[in-house]
Amino acid sequence: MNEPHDADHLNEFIDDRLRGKRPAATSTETRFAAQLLDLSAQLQPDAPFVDALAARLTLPATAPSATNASAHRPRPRRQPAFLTWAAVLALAIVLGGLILYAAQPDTVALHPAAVQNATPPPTPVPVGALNPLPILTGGYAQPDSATFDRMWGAGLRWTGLSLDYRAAVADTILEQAHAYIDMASVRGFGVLVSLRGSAAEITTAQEEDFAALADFAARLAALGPMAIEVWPEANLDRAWPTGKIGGASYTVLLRRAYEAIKAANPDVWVISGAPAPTSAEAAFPGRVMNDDTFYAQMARAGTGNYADCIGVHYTQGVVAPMASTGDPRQPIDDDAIRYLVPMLQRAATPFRETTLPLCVTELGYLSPEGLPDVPGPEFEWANDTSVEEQATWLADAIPTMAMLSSVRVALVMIWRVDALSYDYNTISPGYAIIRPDGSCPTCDALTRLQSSP
Amino acid sequence: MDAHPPDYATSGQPPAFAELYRRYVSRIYRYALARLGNVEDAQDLTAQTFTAALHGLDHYRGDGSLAAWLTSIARNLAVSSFRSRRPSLPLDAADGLATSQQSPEDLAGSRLRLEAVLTALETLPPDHAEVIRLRFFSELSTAETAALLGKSEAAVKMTLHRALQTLRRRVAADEQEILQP
Repeated sequence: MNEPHDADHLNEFIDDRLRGKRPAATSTETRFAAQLLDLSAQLQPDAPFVDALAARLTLPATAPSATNASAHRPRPRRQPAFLTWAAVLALAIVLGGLILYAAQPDTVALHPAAVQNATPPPTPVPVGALNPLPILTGGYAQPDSATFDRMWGAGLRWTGLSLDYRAAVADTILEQAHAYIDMASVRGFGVLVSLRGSAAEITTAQEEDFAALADFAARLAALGPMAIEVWPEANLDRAWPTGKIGGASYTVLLRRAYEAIKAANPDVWVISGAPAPTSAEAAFPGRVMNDDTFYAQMARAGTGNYADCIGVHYTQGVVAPMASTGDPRQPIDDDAIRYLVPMLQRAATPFRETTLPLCVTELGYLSPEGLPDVPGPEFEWANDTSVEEQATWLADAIPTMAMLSSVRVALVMIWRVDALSYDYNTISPGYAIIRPDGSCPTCDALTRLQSSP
Repeated sequence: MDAHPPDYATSGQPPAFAELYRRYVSRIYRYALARLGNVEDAQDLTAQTFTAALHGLDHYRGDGSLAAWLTSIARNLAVSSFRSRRPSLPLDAADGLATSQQSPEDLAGSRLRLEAVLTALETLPPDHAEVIRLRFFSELSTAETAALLGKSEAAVKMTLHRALQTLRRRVAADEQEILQP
């Protein structure tokens, strides 16, 4: 047997068959190859699926028929016909969308490093129910079937649950999580669990402190959420021991949690905990670390090896998502944390050598409209944000992120869908897209987004 | 393979997306089915691929075939995709195997072989299985497959030859077991 010769002959046989020829199958391998090619040719996506996907892509229905679908019969040569009116319309819509976003005032100047390294693979889009929005989008919501129905209608396909782990009540927390995951999953939702621990329970922030949370994360993973965000906002001392804040320390926890989660359920995505957007490091040394510093430390410590997605928060905006200037807050106008796209680039840049996407685990715009006041003086920056702006900006944020070439966003979670309570001194009523009067302008805006090109 | 129409790649123009979709949806679906093993996940991955391709059309530089470009998108998404939480549809729900020209006995034989093939593929080394998926299901040429995998054409040919031998033996063994439990 001359293996290189046999390999050449086999490959030539396959190539001839793929070109529509019918070479003689003279060996056991070529006969099997012919059978495999014939079997492959029979595999066709069903017409309703093809038409539905074409409609989603705003294309004319193009279900391949069984008679012309075989790739292995000779194809009649056809004149290039890619300038049919439907193709022109589709292309015009795509190009028009690109031109429209490029022409927006205050367009974002990309960070030079991001541009230089801007060759990301495509953004992952949904699994499960066909995602009607440009990016897989969900929202944090309490387990209420009416709320879930409104979310589904708005195109949200994931629900979010925040869990505060405490060792003493771990079993109770898991029971609640189990019930939530089951309720959401049976309705077709994916579930993100944002798992937070207690700074008081990891006083030394050494590896041995992290075992309990890692074990808990494994038990949680076994319940079947789609993803677990591991300990967000670890750059603040309300979430991490004072004086021990750092991306390297956090990455040790992340590694333990990642290994435990994957051992329990390898299908669960591990999202690195989003640091809180902040520029207050200088004012509170040892208690706060700026998020960009924290991301850089995470990357150097190897976070990219222990995450499927990099978590990001953006909840302090008062301008449109595509803006990069114009925030009225003083004294700093160009603080990146105030603008969505620079905030994303801030998170992505340290990880540009990896293929990891970003997961915006909290996207929110605070509006006090319909409420007595903002929740406290530290939120007065949101005084002038209307509900209409909240709705418009949330809906615009989705395609804005989908169109970025320098970063890939795999998931967006709106914080929040519903209010956790009606105590207007808390922050969730102002962030909630279901407003106190029961209306949901953001839901309406997202619904319109579903039917737009 | 991309023998027809004359190359979008050399024209330097972004192809009309509708034509791209019509031409390649079946091939991407077949690759997805071979990769993921169930209809629902295959449909999801196909949808993801074309949605990503639509958004990323401006990144297509025309320096390779469209089939290879789309397949590379599908491969990337298959690696990073979330998994469906719904029970997988059995392969006998794969509509693609239902054709009026086939007798029930033919259909039963086709379904059996697809299950046997996909099961046996899973037992191959990952690079062997992938070469088979790319050549047989995505219909990429040797050169396209080599470029995608970062291997030489000679290596791809040899890998395919060995992979097919192994696959054939394992499919035969599986079918014997089924026929003679």
